[in-house]
Amino acid sequence: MTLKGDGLVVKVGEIDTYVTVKGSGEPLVYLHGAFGYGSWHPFLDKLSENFTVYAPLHPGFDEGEGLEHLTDLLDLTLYHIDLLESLGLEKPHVAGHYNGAMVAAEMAALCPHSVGRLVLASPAGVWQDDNQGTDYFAVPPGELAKVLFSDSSSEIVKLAIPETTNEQEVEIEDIRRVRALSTVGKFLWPIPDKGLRKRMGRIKSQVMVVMGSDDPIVPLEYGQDFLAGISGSKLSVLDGASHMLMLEKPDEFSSIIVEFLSN
Amino acid sequence: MKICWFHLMPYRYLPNNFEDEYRSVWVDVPSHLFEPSKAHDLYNEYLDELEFADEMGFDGICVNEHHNNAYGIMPSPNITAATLTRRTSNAAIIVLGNSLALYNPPIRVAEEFAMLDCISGGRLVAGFPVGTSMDTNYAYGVNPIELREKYYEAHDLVMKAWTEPEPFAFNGKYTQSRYVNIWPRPLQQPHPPVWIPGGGSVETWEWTARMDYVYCYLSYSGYKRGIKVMNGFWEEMKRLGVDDNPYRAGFLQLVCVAETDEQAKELYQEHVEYFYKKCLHVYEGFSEAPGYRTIKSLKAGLVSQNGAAATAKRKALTWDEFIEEGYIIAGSPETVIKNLRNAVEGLRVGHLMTLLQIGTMPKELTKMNTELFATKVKPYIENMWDEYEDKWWPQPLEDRQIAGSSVAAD
Repeated sequence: MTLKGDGLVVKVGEIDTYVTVKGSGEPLVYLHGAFGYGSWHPFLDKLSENFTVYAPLHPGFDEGEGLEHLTDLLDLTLYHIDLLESLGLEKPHVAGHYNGAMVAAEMAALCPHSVGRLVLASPAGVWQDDNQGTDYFAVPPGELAKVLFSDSSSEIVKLAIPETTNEQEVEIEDIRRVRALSTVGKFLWPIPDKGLRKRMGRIKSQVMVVMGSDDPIVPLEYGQDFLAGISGSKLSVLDGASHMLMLEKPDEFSSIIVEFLSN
Repeated sequence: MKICWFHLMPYRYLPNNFEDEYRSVWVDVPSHLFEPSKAHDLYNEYLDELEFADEMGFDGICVNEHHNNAYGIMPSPNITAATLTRRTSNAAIIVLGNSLALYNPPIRVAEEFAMLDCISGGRLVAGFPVGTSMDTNYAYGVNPIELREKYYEAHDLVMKAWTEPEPFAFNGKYTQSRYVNIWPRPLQQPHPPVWIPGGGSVETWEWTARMDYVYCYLSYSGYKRGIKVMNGFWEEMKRLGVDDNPYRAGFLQLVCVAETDEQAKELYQEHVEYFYKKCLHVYEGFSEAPGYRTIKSLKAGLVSQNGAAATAKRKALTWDEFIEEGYIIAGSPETVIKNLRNAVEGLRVGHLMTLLQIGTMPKELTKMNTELFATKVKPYIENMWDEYEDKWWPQPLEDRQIAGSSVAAD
C-alpha cells in the first residue's frame, strides 16, 4: 500500500510511523479507523484545502510496524501524544474515525493541553447493553460491505474493500484485513468499552461528534453518551449514512469539519 | 501403538432442521435447545461409555474442553476426568485438555492436574490446547492477538509450579502472584506427560518439538487430509533435527465397526450425518477471529477447518464419500483394520485416538462399536510401532486404589 500525497517517516519512541502530509493552513491530524485507511480519500483532499492534514498510518496496519511496543490503551494514547510532539505540532486539531476517534478522545482526556479541537467520527469507546451494535469481528468478510455502507452495491465500497479478481489478491486482502482488525482488536476486543466514559469529562477541547444515522457498528444513540459526557460538545448527523460516512458523503462530512474548526 | 478412546460428549437432541434454522452450533447456539434432564442422561451414559472403554482394554480414555458448544457439552474436562480417576483402573486418563489461557489464574490448572494425577495413581496425561477461536475469543473474550502469548505464559507458570521445589514469585504480563506453591504436587515426576492438541499451526509444531511434547492433530477432516498435514509436521521435525519417533504424534479418527461394510452404513450413517451436518455447523463469523492465527500461518495457507469452505463441503458428503475421503473409517473389522493401518502408517502416529461415539449414536450402539473394535480390530493393529519407545506415556504407581478399595475401609 502507498498513501498518495507526500509521505514522511517520523520516529516515535521505538516506532517508525508513516505520515502523509498534505495541504496548507492550520494543522489537522486525522486518525483513521478500522476500515478504509489505505488511501488518501476525496474527503481528505477537501480538508487539505483548508488545513495541513497529517494522516499517520496506525502501527499494525499495512506496512506499519511496531505494534508490539503498544501493550495497552495507555501505551496507545501516549504514543499518539508523542506523535504530535515528534511532528512538531502544538495543540493541533485532531479528527478521528471509530478507534481513531476513541484515541483522539483519550488523548484529550489524558493530556487536555496536547490537542486543539476534536472531531469524533463514528467514535468507539462507549457501550450500551440494550443497544449493542453489530459485532464486526463476527461478520464474515463477504458481508462486511453491508455493515459499513448504506448501499453495499455502490462503487464507493471499493474505497474500503478492494475488489479482488484472483486467489493471490484475495490472500493479500485477507492479510491486510486481519492485520487491521487484529490491531483494532488489540485495544477494543471484545467490547469497546475501555473506560473512556469515566475519563471524557476531563476533555477541555471543543468537540464535534459526527455520525451516520444508519451506522450498525456505532448506533446513533451512542452520540448522546458523548454529548452528555463532554461539556460543550456538539453532534452532527449525516442522514442515511452508515459507518463509512466520510466515504459516502465526503462533501457534507468535510464541510461540517471545516466549519467547526474555523469558528 | 497406543489406542485411546475419545469422547466429545455431543448433545444428541438438536432438532432436524437445526442447521437451517440456526446459524451456529457453537458460541450463540440458543439455550432453549438444551434440556437439562436430557443432559443428565447424556452425561451419565457418556461416563459409562468411557468406563466401558477402560474395561475393554483401551490404553487411554480422553476428554476435552469446549464452551458454548452443543457438539461438546464438556466445558470442564477436569470434572469428567475426576469421576474417571475413581471408577477406572487401568486406562491412562488423557485430558486433552485444559485450554490454558482460559484459566484464571493458570495455577488452577497446575493444581487440578496435580490432584487428578494423585487421585488416579499417576495415570494423567496433561493436554494443553491453545483452544479454538470459538472457545477462546468469542465465548471467553480472550483477545485474539494476545491469546498465544497468554497461553505460553500460562504454560510456563504451570510447568514452573510443577517443577520448582520452593515457593516462587511470578511477575507475568497476564498473571502475578507473590507465592506460587502448589499443594498437592503431581505424582508423576518431573511432571505428567504433556500433549499439545493443535489444528495445524506452524508455530505449534516448532514449540512442541522444542519442548519435547506430543503433538496431537485433532481434525474433523479425516485422515487423508491429515496425512498432508502430518507430512508437513514430520518435515518440520526433520528440519529441526528431531527424531521421527511416531509417539511424538497423536491423531483422532472417527471409526465405525460392524459385521459387514453394508451393516456399518445401516447402523451408523444417520449418526455420522448428524455429526457432520449439525455438530460441525459453525457460523463463519466465529470460525477465526482476526489475529487468532498468526500472519505466518495465514501465509502458509493452512486453511481453517471451521471456515465456510470446509464446513460446506462436509455437509454435502455422502456415506461413500465420507469413507472415500477418510473422514470416517467404517465397515467390517477387516475393512477397518486395513484402512486404519494405512491411515496410521501415512500419518505416522503412535497415539491413535478413536472416536467411537459419534453424533447421535446411542449407548448400546456405542458399546457395540467399542466392543467390536476392542476385540476384532485393536489386537491386529496394536503392535504397530513396537520398535519405538513411547516416552510420553504415564508412569503410574504399581499399587493403585480406586473407589471402595481403600485399606482403611468403613
